[in-house]
Amino acid sequence: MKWLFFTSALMAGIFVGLASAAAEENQPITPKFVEITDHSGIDSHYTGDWEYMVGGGVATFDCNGDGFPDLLIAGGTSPAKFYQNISTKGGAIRFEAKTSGLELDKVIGAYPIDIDGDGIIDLVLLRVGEPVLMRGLGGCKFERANEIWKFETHDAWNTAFAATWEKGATWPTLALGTYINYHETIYPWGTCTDNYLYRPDSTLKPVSGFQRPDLLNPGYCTLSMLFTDWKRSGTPDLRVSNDREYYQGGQEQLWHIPAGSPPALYTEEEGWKPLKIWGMGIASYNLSFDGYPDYFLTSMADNKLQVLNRPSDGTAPVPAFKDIAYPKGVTAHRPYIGDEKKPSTAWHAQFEDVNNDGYVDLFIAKGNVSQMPDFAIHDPNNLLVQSKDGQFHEMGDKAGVASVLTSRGASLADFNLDGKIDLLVVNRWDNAQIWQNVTPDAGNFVEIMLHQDGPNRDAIGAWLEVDNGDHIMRREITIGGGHASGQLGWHHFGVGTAQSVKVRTIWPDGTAGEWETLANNAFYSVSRGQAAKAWQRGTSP
Amino acid sequence: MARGSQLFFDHTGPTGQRALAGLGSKLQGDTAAGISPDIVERSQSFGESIADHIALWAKSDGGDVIETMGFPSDYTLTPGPSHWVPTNAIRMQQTPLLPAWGKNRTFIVPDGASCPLPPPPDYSEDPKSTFYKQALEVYTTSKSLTPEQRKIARFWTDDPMLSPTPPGHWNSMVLQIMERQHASIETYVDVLARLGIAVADGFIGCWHEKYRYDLVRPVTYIRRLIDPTWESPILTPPFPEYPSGHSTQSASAATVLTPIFGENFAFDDTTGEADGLQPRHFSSFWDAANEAGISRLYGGIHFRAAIELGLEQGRCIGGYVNALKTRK
Repeated sequence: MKWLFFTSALMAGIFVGLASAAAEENQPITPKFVEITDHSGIDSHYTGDWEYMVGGGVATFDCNGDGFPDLLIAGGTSPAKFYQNISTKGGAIRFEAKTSGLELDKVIGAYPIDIDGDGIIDLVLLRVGEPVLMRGLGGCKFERANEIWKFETHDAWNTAFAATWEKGATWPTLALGTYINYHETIYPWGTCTDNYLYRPDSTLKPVSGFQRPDLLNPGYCTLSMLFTDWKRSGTPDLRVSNDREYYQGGQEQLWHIPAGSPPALYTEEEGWKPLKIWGMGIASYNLSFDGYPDYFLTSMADNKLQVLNRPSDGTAPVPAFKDIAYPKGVTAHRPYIGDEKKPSTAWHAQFEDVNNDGYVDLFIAKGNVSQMPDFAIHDPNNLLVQSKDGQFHEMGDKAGVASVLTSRGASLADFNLDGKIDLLVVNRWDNAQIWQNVTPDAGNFVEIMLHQDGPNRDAIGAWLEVDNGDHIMRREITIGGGHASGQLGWHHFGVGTAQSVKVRTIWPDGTAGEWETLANNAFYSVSRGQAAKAWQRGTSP
Repeated sequence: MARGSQLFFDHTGPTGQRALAGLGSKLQGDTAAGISPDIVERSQSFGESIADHIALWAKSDGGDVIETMGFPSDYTLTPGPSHWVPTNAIRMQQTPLLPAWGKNRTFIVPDGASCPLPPPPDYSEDPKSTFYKQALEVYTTSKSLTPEQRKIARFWTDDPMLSPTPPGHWNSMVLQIMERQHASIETYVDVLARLGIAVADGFIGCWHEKYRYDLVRPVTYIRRLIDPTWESPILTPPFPEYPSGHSTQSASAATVLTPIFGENFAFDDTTGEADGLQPRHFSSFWDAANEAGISRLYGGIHFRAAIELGLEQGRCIGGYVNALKTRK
């Protein structure tokens, strides 16, 4: 009996030890961030009352060709502020406010995009009233371009943006999302305004502007849009996330945008499964390594992580998605620090690998709409770190980014080009905050910038694939999504312990580049049809 | 009105606050025109004191504070296969909605237990049992829904936070009727007060029984025993099954409205038009209440017993309301 007991105890001990080792093996590296707001040069508040309860975005882009991401931060009723990145590579993150021509008021968000294909980044400014296209002039100077680009606008609460280059097009197609009729003072519910689709005017030779926009009707109070090739057909569709607080008969939307044909909503007959949420932001990434994008949708109290229900018989997928937020641990439905048990309000979401372990993590900006007593007031931002088994673990507090200010838009980008993803968050009625990633035991990385000649120079619609020997990470290159916040520039991949990785680009027209082996911990400029070039500071990427 | 709206909707968001402020200004402007300022001031003060008095009374009804959207974080599920378990993957809804609502103070009915129901059919997994047969009826009906049945299921979904809700639906119906009839202010007040009490007490009584029996939803039972891939045609609400809330409150409403408007009062209901739902015609309030009840079977969220006995409970609650004397 004693022998049996001893054996059992020994076996139990072994199993406990194995389980503990397995748990340790699965424990992701804890990221570490240091808030550097006070020394960063950033001083930007997102201000304004009711018309600015949504928005509060930031655009991240490099407008002087030095490789360092610059910023435009929305100011609401205050002028937007442009900040030039004056950091040193691997050093302290520093920005300097500069006059750029972008200092408009009523800006709620911004997205960078090279509209005219001149190799200089332009910006789309989402505003209360009139949206404005700003043409990049070089050297971080911009000018209004609505008139010269025949961008016909409407008085609206412009809240969302996405862009794609349709097949054969030399200019982009722009989708503009709008919110409530902000002139309605007594009963704005049910007054969602139409969204717009701007296509290039092919009667202009060469194309140098847009046609009158198509209406994306019905509009259901849109707060995020994303052109995405969810079924990998080669033609992206337009995902639209809508705020159920204000629509009647509304839901989330998916639009067919067939080249040369009018937009059309996906229907239930096509497999589209209606979903009603307080949709505020879209983030996408191929989390399951199956080549199809997964989507995180922010809302109030109930965030969604959607994976495509792919038919097992190999037939073409239909737009039916399964919500796996709960089993994956990304519901982020209430604060995880402090005493408040009330539900959370989520805005910008973004997938990036903050500890470079080869598994992307999820950041969510949180903040009460405006003193809503049924929702958390001190609502910490989330940093959900993914472990190898695909589970996410809340580490916002351990990482040092659990701000409880009223957050809205955000940017996760490598501001000092040290290979680690840093963080900037825009706050309503408060200064934006910025954190430097100082994770001591972070893994290796590669960062890649894509180029192609002619239109669509930044290869929007491409897929970047990075094989670190353990799994293939795939990132769809998009413009749109998030909450009023867009970025253009380096595409960052944590690669874990891999010393080198294989990288391939599937260009927007579907042409697959060759797999190339690249050394880790470096920045690469990948131009179509050419071998990847390591980027050296002092040259334009 | 302005004060009462502020007090009863004090948890609304910035848009609601803005709307309330705008509405208050408009009401004040409209009603004060041509009246001397001192009369306006005294009248306003009197109205506000009435609103304050009602709000103070409402604070003690047990339902004044709703936390975490009504889903308590400290609720313990009842063990056993016959009892409710979460039916979706929404993290907040892993506990059921408002388990203590049946203990709230009622308006006319003595208390939540005053219209009790017999137990639902005995829980059983035996295919010959009444319980199994009722589940199979939900399953087979959902598999062969006619377009008309599907329309009915959708017309009455009235999901909380996604629609006017079941009480809002009945309020909408009578507001349409009274507008068409150019009803007098006295009729408006009388009808809305009676209907409001009927649906409020109806839900308290229904919730009392829901948490007395704590019955499993069809989707749970059917997936466990009949078809693991089955989905209810409409969203399954996050709380116990028996009785059907829409059945109880619809029958309570019909019991109250029928003596006022007549036994065979026919009407059209356009409530769902803004949500893209076609208007429906009803030959009487009971026609509407019965359809609301059976819609839950078409929608796959209730067994037949919950509907039939829910309607019975509503008759009982409505009967109390009808005893209320509102006119000389």
